[in-house]
Amino acid sequence: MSKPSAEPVPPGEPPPEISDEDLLAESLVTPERFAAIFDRYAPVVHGYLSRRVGVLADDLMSETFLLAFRGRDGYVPGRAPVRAWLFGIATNLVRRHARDEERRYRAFGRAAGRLEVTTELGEVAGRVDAQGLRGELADALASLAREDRDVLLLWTYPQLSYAEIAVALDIPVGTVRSRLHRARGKVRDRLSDRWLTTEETA
Amino acid sequence: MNEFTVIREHGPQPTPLSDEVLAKARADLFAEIHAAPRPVRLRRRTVVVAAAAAAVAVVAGIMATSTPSPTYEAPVLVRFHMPVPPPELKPVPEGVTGPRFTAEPGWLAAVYSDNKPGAEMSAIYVIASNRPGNDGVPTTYDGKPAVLHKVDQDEPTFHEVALSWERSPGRWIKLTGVGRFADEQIVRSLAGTLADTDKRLSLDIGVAPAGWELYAFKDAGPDGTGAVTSLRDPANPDRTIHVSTTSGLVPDYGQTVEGGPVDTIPVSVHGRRGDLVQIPGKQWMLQAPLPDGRTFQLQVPADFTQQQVIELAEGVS
Repeated sequence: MSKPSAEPVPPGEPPPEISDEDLLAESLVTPERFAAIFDRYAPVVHGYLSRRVGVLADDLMSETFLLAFRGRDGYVPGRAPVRAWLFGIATNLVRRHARDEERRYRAFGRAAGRLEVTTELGEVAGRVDAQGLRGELADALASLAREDRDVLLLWTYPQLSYAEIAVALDIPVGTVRSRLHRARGKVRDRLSDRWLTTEETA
Repeated sequence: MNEFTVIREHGPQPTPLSDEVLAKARADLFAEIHAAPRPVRLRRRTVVVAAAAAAVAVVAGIMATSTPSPTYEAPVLVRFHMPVPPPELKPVPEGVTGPRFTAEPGWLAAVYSDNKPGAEMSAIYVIASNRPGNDGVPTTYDGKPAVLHKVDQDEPTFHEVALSWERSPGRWIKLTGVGRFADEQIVRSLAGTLADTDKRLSLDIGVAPAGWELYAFKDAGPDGTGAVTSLRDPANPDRTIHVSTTSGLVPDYGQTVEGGPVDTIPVSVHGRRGDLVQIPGKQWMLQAPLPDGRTFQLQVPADFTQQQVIELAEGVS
C-alpha cells in the first residue's frame, strides 16, 4: 500500500505556451508553424498599421507576414523579440506610404475641425476640447520627420523598448533615444500646454 | 497626460480588422507556406543555431534596396505571356470561395478558402509549379509517381494533407487540404475533380522587357482593387515593374506621388487620358483607366523611355 502524499496535489496547469522564438525556429523545418506567429500577432500588427495608414493596413498587414515568413531565417534569436522584429517589418512598409500617412493625419485634423451634432451641452464642450486636441495632434504628427515618427510611434503604440526599437529599425540605441527625445519635443511644442503634464516617462 | 498618452488616446484610432481581411491574409500566407520549398529536416537545436548564424537580413535587410547600377542595357519590349492558372476544382466544394490566385517565380497558386472564423481555418490550395514536390512519402496518383505529405499538429491546431504529382510533363501540381479537407481520401477525391481552366489572372501585362520574369502576382479584393502584378529582371533583381489596380484616378497625380511634386504629363492609354510622371533618377509612374472601368497604376524604372512606359501601359489588361 502506498503512503499517502503529505503534499497537496497541485492543480493541473496548462502546458507552457510555446515561445515565439521557438515557433519561428520550428517554422524553418515545418513552415506551417509560422501560422501560429500570424495568429498571435496579426491583430496587433494590423492595429499599429491602421493607426498609421488607415485602410491600407489591410494589405500591409498581409505583406508584413509574407515578408516575415520569407525572411524568417534572418531572424536572430535573442537580439529582440519576434514581436519587435514584426513591427520593424511593418514600419519599413509604412515608409513606402509616407504620403498616405501624412494625408491621413491631415484628414484626421480636418475631421477634428467639424463639430458633430449633439443634444447634450456638456458633451459639446468636451467634444470641442477633444477636437481641438486632435487637430493639434494631427498637425504635430504630420510635421515630424519620418525617422522620428517611426521611433515615436513604435514607442507609443506597441510600446517597444529602446533596445527593441533599435533592433526593429536597425539603428543604434543612442539614435533611438535622440530621435524619441526630438519627436517628443516637437509634439510638445505643437500641443497647447493645457493638454500636457510634465511627468517624465521616456 | 504626457505626449504618449495623448497620442494613444486622442490620435488616429485603429480601423477594425474584419474576419474577411484576416482570413484573406491568412490564406495568402498559407499559399506562400505551401509553395515554399521544404528544407531538409534538421534537429531543432541545429536549426536554432543555424538561424542565429544567418544574421544577414534581419529587418532592414528584408527591405533594403541596393544602389542600382547607373547603366543598364537598353530594354527591348517583347510580347509577354502571363502564366496559366492551375487547373480548377469543378465543382468548387461547398463552404469555400475562390479561387483567388497568388504567384511568385516558379509557382502559381489557386486558393479556395473558408472565410468562417474559427479555431482552425479550412482551405484548399492548388499550386502549379515547375519543380517537383519532394517532401513526404512516395505514393501514386492517377497511375503516376506522387508524394504525400501530412501534418497533424495540436498546438496550435493545424492539420493538412498535400498530394503532389506531375500532371503534365514539367508541370507539377500540389493539392493541399487544410482543416476539414486534411484527409487523404478527400484530397485524392478533390484531385479527381481538377479540370484545365480558361480563367486568367485578373491583372495581365502583355508586354515586358525581353528576359524579364513574373516576380509576383496578388489577386484583387472583392472590389477589384489591390491586384498587383510585378515583373523583374533576373539579372538585376532590384529592377522591377509593378502594375496594380487602384480605387480610382488620383487628382493632381504629380503633386501626390512619392518623390514628388513633379509635373504631370498627359498621355493616351487605351485611347483614354492617363497621367505620367517622372521621378528623376528613380522611376516613372503612370495612372490610367482600363477599358473595363478599372483603373491602374504602373511603376517603371527611370531608364526606360517615355514611349516604352506607354507601351507597357497599353499592354495592361
